[in-house]
Amino acid sequence: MLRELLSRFRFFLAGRDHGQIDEEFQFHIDQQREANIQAGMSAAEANRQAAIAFGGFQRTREQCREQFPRYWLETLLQDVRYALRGFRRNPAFSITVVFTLMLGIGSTTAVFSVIDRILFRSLPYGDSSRLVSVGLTAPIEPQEFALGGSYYVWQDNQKPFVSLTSETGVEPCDLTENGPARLNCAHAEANFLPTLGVVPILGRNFVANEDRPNGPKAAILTYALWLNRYRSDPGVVGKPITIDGQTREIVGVLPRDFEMPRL
Amino acid sequence: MPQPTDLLQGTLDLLILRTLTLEPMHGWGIAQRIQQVSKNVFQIGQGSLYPALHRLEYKGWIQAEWRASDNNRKAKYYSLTQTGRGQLETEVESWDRLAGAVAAILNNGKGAPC
Repeated sequence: MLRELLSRFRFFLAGRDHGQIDEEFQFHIDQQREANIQAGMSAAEANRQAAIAFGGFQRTREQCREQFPRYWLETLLQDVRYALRGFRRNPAFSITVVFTLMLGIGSTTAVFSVIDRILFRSLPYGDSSRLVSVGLTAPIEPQEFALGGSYYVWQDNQKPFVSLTSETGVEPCDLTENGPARLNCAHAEANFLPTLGVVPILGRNFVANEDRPNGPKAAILTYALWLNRYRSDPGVVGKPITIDGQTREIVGVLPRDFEMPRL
Repeated sequence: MPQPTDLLQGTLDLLILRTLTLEPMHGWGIAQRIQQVSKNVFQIGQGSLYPALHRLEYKGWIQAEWRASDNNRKAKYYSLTQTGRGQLETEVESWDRLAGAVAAILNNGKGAPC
């Protein structure tokens, strides 16, 4: 087994010497000629018969070379070289081809990267087939929205849904502490993550007490913020974070693949 | 003289390996030997002999060596490797199985009817 592998490897590197094959064949033909002469043929006839008996010299040589993988590699290289020569001979055509491919691949990738999320990937939430977005729509805001007071009445009295939740939409906010930074914040209710079927990978979700107007201020970090600012420190839960001048307690970290629902 | 028989692919390998168990030989010698021993049933065309030899060499079952022939010309001699010996046993076994199976089918019905 090892020997076989070694042998194959050796031939792969070394390939086959053309001259040796020819010499081997020539020896064969000469042997045959000698045999023919001894059988009583004239020298010319012996030569002729030996050549006939041997058959296609070139063809056999090709077949011998085909036994080695290098043959395959060589023909591939030949094809590539031939193709490149063809391109050089006809630059206008080549440029057109390259340009067409460029545009084609580029636009397909661009379109697909958008389409992929919209059409093919399922929503990154627990039971996405039962999620719907409800609310008012208006020309200025394509995403459904609801107005504060009526929303809470609706939430308290609605029957069709197992759970109705809301968030304020993602808006820029500032991290006003050591190493200030611009962040994106959204206000969400305590039942927001459970409705989506998302569980924080660290710490906990908001609790009902934190929903109330003057309840404790709490924050849940995104995975990226946790990774970049806190170096994935598992002790981050319970630490304070100051956002827009208001200090809150970090209570949890979102999963890596979490996305805010957008339409 | 019987018509030369087409060799099954793989059978030629078997014949070459078997022929080389006797002594290292060059291509022409192998063809002659197979022809003689098979009483002219098998006439190995060079078109299949040399590709087969090179294939077996590539597989490492036989190895080649250039040395002087009987009439003092440089010739390429092939000899069986250790792997080749093992392979020959396997090939002989599978050939026996094949031949036995074919014989069983051909003889079926000659004896007691089914």
